[in-house]
Amino acid sequence: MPDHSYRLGIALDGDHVSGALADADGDIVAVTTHRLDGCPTPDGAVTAVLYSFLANGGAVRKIDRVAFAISELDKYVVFPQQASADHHPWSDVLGPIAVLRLGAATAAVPPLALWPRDFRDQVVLASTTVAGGARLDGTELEPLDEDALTDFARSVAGRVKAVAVTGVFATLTPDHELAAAAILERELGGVPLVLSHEIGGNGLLERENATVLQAALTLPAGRDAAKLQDMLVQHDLGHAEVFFARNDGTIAAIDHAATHPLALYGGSAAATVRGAARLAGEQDALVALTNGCGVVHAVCAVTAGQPRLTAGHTTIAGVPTSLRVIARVPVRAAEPTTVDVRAMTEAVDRAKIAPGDLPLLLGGPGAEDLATALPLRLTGTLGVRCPPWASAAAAVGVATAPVGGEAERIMPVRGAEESMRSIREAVSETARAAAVRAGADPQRARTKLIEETPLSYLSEPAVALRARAEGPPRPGVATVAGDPGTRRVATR
Amino acid sequence: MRFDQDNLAAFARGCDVLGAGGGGPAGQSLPLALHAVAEHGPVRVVELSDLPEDELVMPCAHLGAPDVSVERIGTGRESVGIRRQVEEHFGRRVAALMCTEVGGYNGPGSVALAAHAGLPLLDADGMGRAFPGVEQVAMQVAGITASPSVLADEHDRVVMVRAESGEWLERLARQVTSAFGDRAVTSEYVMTVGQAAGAVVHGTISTATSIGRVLDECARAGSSTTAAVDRLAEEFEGVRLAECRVTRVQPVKNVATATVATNSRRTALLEGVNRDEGRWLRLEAGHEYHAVLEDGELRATVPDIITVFDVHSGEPVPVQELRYGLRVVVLALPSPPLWRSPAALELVGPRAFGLALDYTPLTVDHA
Repeated sequence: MPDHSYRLGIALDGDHVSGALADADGDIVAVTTHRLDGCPTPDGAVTAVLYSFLANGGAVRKIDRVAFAISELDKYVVFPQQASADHHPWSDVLGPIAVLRLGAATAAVPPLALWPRDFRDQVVLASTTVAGGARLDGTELEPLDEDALTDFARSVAGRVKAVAVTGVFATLTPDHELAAAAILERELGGVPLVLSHEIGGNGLLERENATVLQAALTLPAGRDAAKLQDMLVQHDLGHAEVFFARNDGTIAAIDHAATHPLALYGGSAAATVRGAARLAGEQDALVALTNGCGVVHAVCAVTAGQPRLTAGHTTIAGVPTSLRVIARVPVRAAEPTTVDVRAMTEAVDRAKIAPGDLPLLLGGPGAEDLATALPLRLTGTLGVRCPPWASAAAAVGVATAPVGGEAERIMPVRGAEESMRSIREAVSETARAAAVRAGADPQRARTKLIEETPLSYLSEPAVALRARAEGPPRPGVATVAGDPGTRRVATR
Repeated sequence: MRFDQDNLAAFARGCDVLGAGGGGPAGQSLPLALHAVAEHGPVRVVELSDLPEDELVMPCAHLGAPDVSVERIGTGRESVGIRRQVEEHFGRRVAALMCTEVGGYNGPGSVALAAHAGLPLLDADGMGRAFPGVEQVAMQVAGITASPSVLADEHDRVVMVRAESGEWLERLARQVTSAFGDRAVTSEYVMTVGQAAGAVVHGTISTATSIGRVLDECARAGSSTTAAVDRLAEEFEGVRLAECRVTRVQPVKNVATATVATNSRRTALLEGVNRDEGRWLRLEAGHEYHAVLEDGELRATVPDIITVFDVHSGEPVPVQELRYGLRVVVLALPSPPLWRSPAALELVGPRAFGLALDYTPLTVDHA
């Protein structure tokens, strides 16, 4: 049966609201931009966008997927402890959580040692390290100390809202994290558990920090997600699957986004970059991000349709984490309120990963106004272009983005060819499963890429495998006009 | 001087400058040092003259794969077992721990090891910078015996290797490190305080701290990276070679060699910007930056310390992170004098890193 459903993308960036409607083939059928007074809410944004699309009533009634790119989410994630109650619904609900590390012989830096003290005291009720973890060859670093783990679980039972678990080399062998999770589940019941191997990244301390932040944010994010879904019910969109922009240019279903809120950091910028490339029909390009104040604030690179990401090492709320986010090269203008061609040229150069000119695309609020202020030719580019609807790039980006999933693993390369093949297959399947968990259509999620990066100075050569899978967002409940369903996606 | 919560960050910054693009990031071992002094109290930095002549100086370093040590961060207590083994073997007391390599990770790493072992840290190291080879230390030039090699992992397992030559020592020690899982803390070239007088690079712990303090002052004053590098050049008798954009980084393929010092090579082309517009520099790199050429002439060569700073972050750029498009300032600092003898240059001169170039001392303009 032909698919006649539509996807709605909604972007909120300061007081700028944009919307895009895409059909089942991913073609854009309608776009709108608005500037609202004050600080618009997602509710206000949905209202404004749906009002603009009244003329597309037929398509609007067939919307079964709604995706959001909300730049404000960056602040939610980065400054949870500073925001005031009216700006920030999470401020009083972060934590308390428990932090557990598996790997006793890592006492050189205990958990949370790199955290600002106030933030740590606010978020964490208790932390401990017990024996466990893995070695690079997959064997145990230490046998898992189940007794100590059980004691710890009992000591925090009833007093914590989530537990963060980080094992040494868990990205290689998550066995101990999973075994710990089973014990915590038994002792603590339904308390959310965040395990570091789901977050990924090599580097115990940074992965642990990201895991702890994720655990702290999980509950408030779930609460906000539920509010957002209630709001959509008011707009007769309760039947639709809801997605959020992630920091790698993909989207994630609301249940996954709420349990993995860290990945939303930078999502709005990533959606803008993807949308601008899409609008311009380019696979390889640079995208100049505008912010609605008449300046370009950063330049990003798109390679093979994917925004370029940082290598990790993202500091969030003063805490170093392993999070990989879209690489934004800031434009350091001498005069911050004007277009500084010299600063732009330099940012363009730094955003590239290799010599060779690329088109420079504008994207973001007010992009069209800026198009006239910029020279058509800029050193290092194939020209400056403002694609049609560039100011709605973020909405277009989320309306057309796939759902993504990743998996990582370290693999010795001197192993038997057969075992290497089975490891590659396992990683590929794990990435596919991750995409499905994040909300990809299980029928159509595919692994797109397996990267192998050699690790240096090892006595037995090994590579880090990283697989990426993608699929279109899973469809919501098909509805007929006048009879919208009100299915709710379960959130914690 | 004592290392405590207040001055370790500056020291780490200086260690990265002395790393010359290698040695691993000092920022990664800084948390280990900070936690160690929080737990055990400040680490005293001492001179040889503060120590009894016939007691021992114990050089220590972290060895292995960076991808392992960021995950298995260890306990810092590895030095306790090493110290016990060294004292038992030599039948003498260890008077101080010495950093084997001040450049990069091992700088702050040695503070952590000293704190846990309850030892003061000698104001000296084996290199005055970073080098990849175990034998590329001042002690080797001075004729100190490398053997025994004492290696420990984070589970208090300790192995002592004794061998008649450096080759055998390294071959066996490598097997031990491999068995530990590519991460170990090791000690070689243990010597008496008396022997150490002519066999180490003196004052380098202080130098690294001073470099870090200058950078901190510049950062507080809001100086540009170029201005900060100018100040380093002025205060430490170096040269600011140029401010550039990186226009190409090319790995050199087919380096058929087994020795660590030469098994990784890349070459980069830098185009001068701002007041250096019109200049072109070629940068040769291995695990560290090894040579800078301009107009067919050598501007700087290893063992002089070539450090590349990111103009925007102000941080030294490790060789592996040098890439197209970066805006950088290149600084060269003079190597410790002991590396300039013919025998020493055989060990650490350009040819030791696979470059068919002779060492050319820095020309410092004292205008």
